[in-house]
Amino acid sequence: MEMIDKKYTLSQNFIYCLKATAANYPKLILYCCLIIVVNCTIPVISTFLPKVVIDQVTTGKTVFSLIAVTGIFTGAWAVASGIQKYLDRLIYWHKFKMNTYFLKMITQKALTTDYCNQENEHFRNLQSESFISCNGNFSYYAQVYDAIVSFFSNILGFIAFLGILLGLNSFIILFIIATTGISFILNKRIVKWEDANTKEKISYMQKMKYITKVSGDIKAAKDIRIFNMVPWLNRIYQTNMAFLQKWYRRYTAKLFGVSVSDSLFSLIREGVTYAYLLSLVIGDKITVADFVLYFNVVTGFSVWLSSILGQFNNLNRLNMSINRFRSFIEYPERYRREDGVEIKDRLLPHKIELENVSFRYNNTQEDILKDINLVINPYEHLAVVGLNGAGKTTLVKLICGLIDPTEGRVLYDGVDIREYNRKEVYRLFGAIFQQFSILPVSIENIVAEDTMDNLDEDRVVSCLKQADLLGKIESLKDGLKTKYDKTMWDNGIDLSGGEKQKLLLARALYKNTPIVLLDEPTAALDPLSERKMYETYDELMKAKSTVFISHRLASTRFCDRILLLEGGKVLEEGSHDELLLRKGKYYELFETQAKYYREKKEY
Amino acid sequence: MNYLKRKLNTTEKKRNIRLNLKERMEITKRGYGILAEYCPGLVRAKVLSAFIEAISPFVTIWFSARIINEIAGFKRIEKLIQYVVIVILINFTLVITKSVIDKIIGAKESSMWDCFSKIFSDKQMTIDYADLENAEYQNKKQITEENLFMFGNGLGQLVWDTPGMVKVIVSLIASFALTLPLFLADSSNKWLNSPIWMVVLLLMMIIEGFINDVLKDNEQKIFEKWSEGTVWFNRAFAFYGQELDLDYQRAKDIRIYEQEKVADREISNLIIHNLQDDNYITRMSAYQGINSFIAGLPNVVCYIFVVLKASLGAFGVGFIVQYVGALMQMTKSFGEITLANSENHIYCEHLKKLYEYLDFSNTKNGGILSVDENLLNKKEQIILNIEFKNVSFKYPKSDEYTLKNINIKINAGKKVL
Repeated sequence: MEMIDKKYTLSQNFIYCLKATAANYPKLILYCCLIIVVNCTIPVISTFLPKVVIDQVTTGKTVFSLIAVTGIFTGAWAVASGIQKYLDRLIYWHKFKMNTYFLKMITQKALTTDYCNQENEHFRNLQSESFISCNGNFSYYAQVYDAIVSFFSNILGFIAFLGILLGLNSFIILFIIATTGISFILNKRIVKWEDANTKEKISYMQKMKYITKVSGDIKAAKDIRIFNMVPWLNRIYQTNMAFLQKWYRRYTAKLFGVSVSDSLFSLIREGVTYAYLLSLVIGDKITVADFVLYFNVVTGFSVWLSSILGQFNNLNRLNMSINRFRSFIEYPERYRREDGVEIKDRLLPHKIELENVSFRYNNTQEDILKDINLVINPYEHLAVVGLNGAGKTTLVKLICGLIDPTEGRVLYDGVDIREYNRKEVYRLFGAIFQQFSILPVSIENIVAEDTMDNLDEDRVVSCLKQADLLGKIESLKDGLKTKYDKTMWDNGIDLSGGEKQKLLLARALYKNTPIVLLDEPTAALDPLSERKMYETYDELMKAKSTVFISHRLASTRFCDRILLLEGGKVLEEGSHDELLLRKGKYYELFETQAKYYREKKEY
Repeated sequence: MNYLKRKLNTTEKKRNIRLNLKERMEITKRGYGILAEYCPGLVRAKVLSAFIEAISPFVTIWFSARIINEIAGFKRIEKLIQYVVIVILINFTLVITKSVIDKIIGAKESSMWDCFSKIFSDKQMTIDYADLENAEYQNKKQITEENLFMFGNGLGQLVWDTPGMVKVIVSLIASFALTLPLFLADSSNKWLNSPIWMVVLLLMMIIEGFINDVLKDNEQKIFEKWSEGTVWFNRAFAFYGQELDLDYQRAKDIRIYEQEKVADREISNLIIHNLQDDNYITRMSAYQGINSFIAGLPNVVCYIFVVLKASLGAFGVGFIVQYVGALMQMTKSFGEITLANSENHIYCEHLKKLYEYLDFSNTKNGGILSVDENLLNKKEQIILNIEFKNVSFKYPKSDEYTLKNINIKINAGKKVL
């Protein structure tokens, strides 16, 4: 599917940001408007001040008049500066609040988007860029406000100074615009040249960044010391640093060369301005005071103009990042989210059926699962075994609707999962995956995974008890309300691998779903805890259908049926005893594992 | 009561400043040393750029004054052409140099954070392994890293504040040089000619600088109070915006357990926290606003003084521009001395904490005996015996021993489970 990014225009995105701001912090818009006006007022005051003062002196006004006029202008300047600073700071702090608002939008999208979108590289790029655009002091969204204020201040100032210059001579205006424009175009040449020449720099920096990451990794710490890798790592870093420094020297020299030729136009402009104004004042066409005024105005005018032209680049860049952001937020979803067939009796397990199901990822040639036909009857406990890469986790993802098959259908209660509302489908499943997500909230909230109003504390306690974790939790100072994750909360806790698996089990039990999927749920448990879990398994999963993935063939004994997957196909199927009798692949795998646990005499 | 407390704090701070000036210089020196090692060329470039930025207005002021004087006076064309050509060339050179250096600075500064990461990585690599697992070390590391990478405290501030310091020094020297003739020139009014005005104006600027300092101090205090709640905010922001969304290992659970509901609630908390900030923000902004206003008041006095003296014949019209321009720069610089000083105070404190982390347990546990050279040089696999004799171990902060009196011998060639 060709993903076409959104391409909104500058004005469309401007209105988008305006609406977003109005919805959250409308005061911000007011502050921005006020500061634009003040930003234009101050330069006007400061430009007229010398002229006014010089006029007073050269026309011999009274001392009182001198003091009064000077005082009023400088006083007004001081007041305006104070207001400007106040508004500037207000905007500075308030604009970061918008970051949080956009963060909310991003998170909602990221957490509920179709699971298959994760595998899409383009989507992933959009996603990480979107986070960058609202993160921290230099986030794109924060820059949007600065850019808009700058842009409109410059436009207003430009118009004001244009008005003043019109009183002088229209040709000088055209001349300034022309030279500023040409300077600007030439300057873009430099920027283009810069972009084309930074590839080499980036390659050195990436290598240095990699060394930094690896050196600081606490997981690599043992290896680094035992294998004496410090001098080697440092050498690589220093070598690249030296290359980088050389690159900078070459780059600086080139920049000088390019800048000189392109800045000649500003030199010409300044010279012509001086010549023109001097000729006017020497010829007594304008007063000395006017000379000062017009000179300052011309300088200011070209500054406004080049700022405006410079802003366009900036605005375009920001426009592109807003477009990327909106492309992410408005990324199309394939799974059905509204309507959908209603799931009957959602508390009781129904038949799950895989009909000629094949699956492959977008960018691969090989099918991960080939033509699978499988029926899981209600209340059945199914085990799925096989070597790594056989497709076990993919099978589970298909069953619960995280991914859709490339060919064939997955049916629940006789209906294709794609016909149901996908969210309702997820509600049928509880799971313990090998790759899991525990949020940094209180323990009871992790188990209940619900908003705080709906939390059933008694049920939390009983689920923790069934998962054999209640003792540990009750031993903690804050008990159920203890916060998880030390890096988030200073008084938070961390759990060992085994304790985490018990927590995941408690969560799955709390959800009380008709179907439970378990992917190596005992991998981190010690043998005693593991045995306890197997003993209570039947009891815990009595009223449910379950699918149990495991490497350890010992754990499959209590399942009704075992599925052996190899190379994406179902190789053998049956109960544990049936498969042993068959003396096929399952028997082989079982013997390989069991051999080392048996008595020596059987060798 | 509050006023008294504040006064005590200022006095205490002053005492600290006097006591620690030497210490601050050492800390700053070490800071620059670290920057030179990890981000070469960055500080150098910033200093040069700041110097140019500071000196440019004075070049313009000086030449403008003479040109205006000339057109108000003799109108000698050769002289005018001379001035114009020189000022244009100087400006041209300065502008180009600055724009090139600024581009370099931009590039180097954006990669500054990567260079800072290397500082922490180097420490991670070289510290004794036992200290690596020390909770105190890890805690210090996290705090120091957050301090630097979240707020830019310490090294970041050193980089950002250096140009300011350079500008202040250059501005002061240049503006003083350009203003001195103002007080030496004689007008027709005896009162205005008195050198006491030099003292008056100087005093005014110093007082303004002092008020500037006090107001900035107040703003900083409010900011610190506000920041106390910010660490949690930043952590939560980073988690819910980045880790949760981008860690694809979490994706399955997120959907099965509808974790977006909890995430939504937590982010709403962040937004509520934002709203409570309004009070802090308004007060901090007000302080800065008042500060800017007060900074403008000495200009009123300076301007009036210069204008009066000029109208009473002390000097030509052109010099009005020079003296006013130079005085305004001087006022600005006086305000910024105290800023540069207090900034230095702030980042020195942060740098001190960084050094505590960097100097954490630098003693290496080294034995005297070395492994037999021959064994190390041999190309074949060498297998030695390892023996544990009455070995016990507990982690520094815990009370229980993890290993108690272990006695085992692992003989050469054997594999032990």
